[in-house]
Amino acid sequence: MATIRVFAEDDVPAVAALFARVYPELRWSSQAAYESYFREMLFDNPWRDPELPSWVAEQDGRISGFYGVVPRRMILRGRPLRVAMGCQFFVDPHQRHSLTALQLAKACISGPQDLTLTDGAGDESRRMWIGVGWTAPLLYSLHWTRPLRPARYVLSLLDGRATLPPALTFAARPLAALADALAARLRPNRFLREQTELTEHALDPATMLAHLPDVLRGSALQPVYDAHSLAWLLDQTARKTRHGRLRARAVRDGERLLGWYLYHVQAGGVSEVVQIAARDGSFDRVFLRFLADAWRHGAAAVRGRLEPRYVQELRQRHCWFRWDGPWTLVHSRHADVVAAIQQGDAFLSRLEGEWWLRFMGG
Amino acid sequence: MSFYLDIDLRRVTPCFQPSASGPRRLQQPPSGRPRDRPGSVVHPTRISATNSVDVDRSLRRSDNAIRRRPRGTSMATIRVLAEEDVPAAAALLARVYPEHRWSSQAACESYIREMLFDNPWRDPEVPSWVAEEDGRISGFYAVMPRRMRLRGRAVRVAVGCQFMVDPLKRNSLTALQMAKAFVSGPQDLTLADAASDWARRMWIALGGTAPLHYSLHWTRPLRPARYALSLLERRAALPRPLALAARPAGALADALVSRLRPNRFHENNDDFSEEALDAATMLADLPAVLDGSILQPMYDARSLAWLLDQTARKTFYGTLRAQVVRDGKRQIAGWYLYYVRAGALNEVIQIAARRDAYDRVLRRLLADAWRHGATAVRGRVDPRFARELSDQHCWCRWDGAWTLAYSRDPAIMAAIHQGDAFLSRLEGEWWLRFMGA
Repeated sequence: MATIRVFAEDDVPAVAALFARVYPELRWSSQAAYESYFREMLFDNPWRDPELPSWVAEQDGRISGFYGVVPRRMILRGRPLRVAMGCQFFVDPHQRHSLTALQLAKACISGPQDLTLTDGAGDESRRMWIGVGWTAPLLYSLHWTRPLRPARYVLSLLDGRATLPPALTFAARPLAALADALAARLRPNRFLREQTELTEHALDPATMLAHLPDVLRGSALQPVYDAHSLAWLLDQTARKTRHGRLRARAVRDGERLLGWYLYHVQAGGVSEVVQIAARDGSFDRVFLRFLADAWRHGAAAVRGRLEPRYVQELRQRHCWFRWDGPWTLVHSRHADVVAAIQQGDAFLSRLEGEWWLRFMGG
Repeated sequence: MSFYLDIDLRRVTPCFQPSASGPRRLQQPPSGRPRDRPGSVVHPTRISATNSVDVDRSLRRSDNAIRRRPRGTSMATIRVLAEEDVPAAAALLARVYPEHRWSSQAACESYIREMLFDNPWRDPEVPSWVAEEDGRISGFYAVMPRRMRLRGRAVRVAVGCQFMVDPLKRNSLTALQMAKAFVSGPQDLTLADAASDWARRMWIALGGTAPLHYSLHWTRPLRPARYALSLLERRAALPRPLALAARPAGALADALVSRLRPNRFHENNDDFSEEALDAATMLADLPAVLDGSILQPMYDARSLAWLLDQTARKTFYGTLRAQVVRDGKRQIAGWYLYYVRAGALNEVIQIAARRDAYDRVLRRLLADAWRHGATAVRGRVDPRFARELSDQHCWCRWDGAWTLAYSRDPAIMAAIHQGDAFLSRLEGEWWLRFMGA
């Protein structure tokens, strides 16, 4: 049995070394850079709460397991909730048959938080977590995809899976471009002709914070931000360049802000959506602006996490859903918290999870 | 069940509040005399009904309907449907759905009688309902009792399957009165699985829920070019000559696609085998394939045989095909039931499989449908197998119809919200033929 204890700053080098053993294929520019990132995320984040710490497992004087936790804040129908967002969970490859993982999991959920949440769990982790009382709400594990240049998107999928010989894929590109030009003339894809009365401008944290109550209205479970935490979070998200440059736009109808969208621009590929938020009744208009923007920036398709409240609008705009790999897992002592999530009554965008973190590199 | 209405739902009183005295017991009306069950709603309603066959069309109709304001209110008498009411209910159905496909009024009446009075689960305490106004049937709520099991405990289920109100009475409270009568019965679980968005809103305002994961459907294109072309043709997005001209190119593209790895359905890489599925096999092996579901359907030999026979008679989507899949040791792996129709989207009724064999049973279904010429297959998402569906390149979508559920028992609702219920299209209203095909 390992000894489970609270993660301290002095443990950072040992945990970073463990990470390098568990994920030898992931290369940070240097061990120091990785340690620095670790320190920043777990000890200098704006929500730091000594009562919601990260955990390490120690065996024979050596760190053999780690569970990273970033505290967050939410409210359930106005009631404040302390949230522990699990973001890194790994065990020494030599200890994987031991109970270390289970011990770490139990230590994490034994804290004073009202909700423990993770949204990047693998299928094996899911089975273990469910065994210790977590649930895996399917709705928050689904992602939607909207092809914008369908032929190019299909080609990129075939290319990614090496299904076709590269020469054939390359040769098919002009044909795909022709098909996409035709597809852009079909009614559901005429993005540029829509909603000329709306305006857009760059989204800043102050605007976002001021209008959060408007766009979150209607969700039982909502995130809570202040100026500092939101600015920090957006800055961190912008630094994640693996999926492309972050683009954040506010959509207005005259002076009235309807909502916003944040996504990583990936010309010729799949652009990943970080968050789309809108006032009641305005989601479709904001979403359409977003599709047009992504199309103008050359995206072959866009993808985001399913927001159950907007399933009808997503259907109307020809989005398809799929379980794409990671599971969202939740644990709470409060039945109403779990019920809100299972019923799709929570605002849980990728900003509220671990998606914006860069433990696995930029 | 689906219908639409014009009502301020914020002002509807939830009628699903748990009662300390437990569920209300239903009193039968004495010798067909109407029994008053006045509603408590404060705003006029406008409703009509649709069948699950064409939910999109019903939604479009509802959009038109709600633009007109109601002109007045009235209260109907809500009472249990008696056999003598069947001709009036069939006449109402004909008025509400003039486009239905019944060969004659008599055939429609015979079907209503068979479904509501001769079904194997008939339970006088879980009846269908009618609304009566001025001595005339102005509303009809067909209910099918079913049986389920929650961790071994028997659960009485009421499935709402037809809900309609006379077009001339749509500005009355009739819909809400009937909905309240329906959900106030002694059943442990009230279900509907083809509800329109307006029905969902009313349901939620009354205290029920609409679990989204049981409202999602998956689609797996098998001949993607032909499937895409059929979608464009149906939506009139392409001129017909262009669509016709594109067919040979589509066939060529599909031939190419069938050689790609995820689509090599002609290759058989396991030692599994298939044979025709019959009710006896299904009944004997139900425990094996339902293992892991907290809320499960309950069948006996008669009810299952009757249900499969009824499902086979629904020819609107093609010919029913039911196959059992066995592993190399001849043990049950699972089964699939779907409607075969070459050159079209094929609808899946049920896939049931051992937890460790779902992916192979699904793969068998896809290969079978491909051999039978399907352009794509579609079925209801079983939340327990989201990973397997994704692995086989199935894409999910909300198709316009909602599954609605209500129970006073938190354990039943928890099972549904967690996705731990086995609710295939056989357990709902999908197999019914009130529209005549």
